[in-house]
Amino acid sequence: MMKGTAAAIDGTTPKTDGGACPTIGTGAGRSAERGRPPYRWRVRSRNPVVQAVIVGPMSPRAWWEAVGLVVSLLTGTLAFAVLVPVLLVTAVVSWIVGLGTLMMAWTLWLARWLAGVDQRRLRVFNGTSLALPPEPELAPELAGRHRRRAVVQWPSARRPLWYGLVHLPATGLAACVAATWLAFSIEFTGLFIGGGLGPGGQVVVVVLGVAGLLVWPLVVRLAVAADVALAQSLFGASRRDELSSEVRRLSETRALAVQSAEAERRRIERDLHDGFQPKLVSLALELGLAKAHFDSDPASARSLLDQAHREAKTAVEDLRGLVRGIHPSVLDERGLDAALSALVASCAVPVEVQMRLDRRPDRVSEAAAYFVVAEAITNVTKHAGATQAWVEAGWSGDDLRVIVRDDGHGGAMPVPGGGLDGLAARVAAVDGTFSVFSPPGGPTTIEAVIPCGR
Amino acid sequence: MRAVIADDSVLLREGIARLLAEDHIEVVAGVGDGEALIDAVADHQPELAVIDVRMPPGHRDEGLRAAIEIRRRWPEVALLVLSQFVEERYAAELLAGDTRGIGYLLKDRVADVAEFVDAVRRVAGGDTVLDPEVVRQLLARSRHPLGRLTPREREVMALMAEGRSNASIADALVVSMGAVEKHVANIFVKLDLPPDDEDRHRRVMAVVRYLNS
Repeated sequence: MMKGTAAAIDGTTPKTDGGACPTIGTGAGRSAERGRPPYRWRVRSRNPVVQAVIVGPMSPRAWWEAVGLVVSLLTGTLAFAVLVPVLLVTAVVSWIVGLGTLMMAWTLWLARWLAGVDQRRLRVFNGTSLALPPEPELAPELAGRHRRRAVVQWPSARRPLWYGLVHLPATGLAACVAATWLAFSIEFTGLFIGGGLGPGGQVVVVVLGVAGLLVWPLVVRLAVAADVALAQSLFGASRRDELSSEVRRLSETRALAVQSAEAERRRIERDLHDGFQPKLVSLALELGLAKAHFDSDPASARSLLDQAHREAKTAVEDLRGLVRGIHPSVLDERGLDAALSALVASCAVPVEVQMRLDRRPDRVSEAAAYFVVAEAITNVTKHAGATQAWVEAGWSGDDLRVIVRDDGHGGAMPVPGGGLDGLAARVAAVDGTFSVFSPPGGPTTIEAVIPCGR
Repeated sequence: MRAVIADDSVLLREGIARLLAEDHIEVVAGVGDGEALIDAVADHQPELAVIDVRMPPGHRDEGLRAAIEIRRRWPEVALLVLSQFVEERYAAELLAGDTRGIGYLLKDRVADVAEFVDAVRRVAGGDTVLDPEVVRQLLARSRHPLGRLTPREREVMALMAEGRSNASIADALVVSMGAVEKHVANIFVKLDLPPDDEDRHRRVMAVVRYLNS
């Protein structure tokens, strides 16, 4: 699910020049799914019954799905034709040679591969995106026979196999119903044309035939629905799988959040300890010397006082920068726009800011967005060798989206414990996604999408 | 007297150098990390090294480790270790071996020019000087055998640990020399320090006993 999400992020980010883009993506699957366009009919009716019974089944989309049903019969046949013999062989082999686990693991792998084919079919023809059951999570120390046994016993591992076995009979039945329906409708209507029945019977038969033809698209639609429902119930990730993957994701992001808070505290401690404290100590030292010289050597005392005065002023300035780095109060009071304006005003590289925010995000998302920009801008000034940078912030549905670009030489790589890494953790902690596109030679684009809808 | 200074803040290094220069201590090298410090001591063979605990690359206890290394290789070099924070554990590590000519002070003490220079002189002269803050931390842990000291004896102990003489302690507590001597003798007895040792050494031992208790 996480991998799929990263791919989805790649697709939604602005164009960058190809090449090897170091990319990190973290975040929730949900936001990616929300981004998919809703299912739409070409012809629409306001009346839901008319929409469902008449317009829907006649739409081009419905015909495309009917083609999908035929393809489903083919893939079902393939799965059945492969899996049934393989299972038989497995049964025989496990009785005779005792290689049951090995064969079963292999069979499950095959069933999973076949389910993958159906997964693609459902996406192409039905616009349904189903996740395969998650891969078994095994302890790394498990190996060989024990590993295979664990794979075979993994609760969701057999579901693709069941699907492969049930698929053909079930879809075959549904398709048979639809085909028979069509055959009888045509037959009845044809009988009227051929005039094979008496006048009393003719009316009933013709009415049945025509009604059958009219209702047939609906029948096909039901067959398609049954086909999709079967796939969903059997090989799609179960509720339990979804929940456990959600729990996993949450505990991962929570760990990241704790780590990033810890790293942040360490950074602050270090800034204060290595940046600020020595300045104060040196200031105190100069004042101490000045005091010692005050009576004996007034000229030297004066020059020491001058120096101390200068240093006191720089120290105050430094402290202001430090405090702003921890959390700028204007962010709370006036919002992202004001905070970012102040931020870029003190930046050595010219930065163009475009804010398209018609409403204010919540505080947490706002702070996350601010620190993405702050860190990115710091990187631009320090490392990118850029002459211009651009900052954009705007809504994309319920998501707050922040993009920072520059025209520098690229090659930005997130290193563990580094600024970009910390940002990724910070964004992941608010269930957002964070990506860095920085091919060697540039330009660099950093994007964060922070969901605010929940 | 010749000294080397190790501190990653150039500003502070220069400040301390200036301070020492006023007291006719020649600063032969100023370095910014532990390895450079060891090289500088090897090259210049100074009488004194003033060392910041936290230095690059790790910004943890590089200075302290360099100090322990210097003590191991050149035991005659006096060491004054400065730190932004006082850590009793650091003090204990520093004083684990031979405690002569070792000082451990808060960095802020440089602001009190006269006292700082005095501490430098005492360390260079072979005394053990501990920051009052270290001593306060030690005395806060009222564990055996510290628990056996009376409050007054603890006060005397604290001043003694700072490296003060009996006369100086008497001044600080506004008592007679005789009273201080009595307290000191009591402390030695309570801390099971053998009476036949040289007096100055016993005083240091008392401090070390605290640190390791």
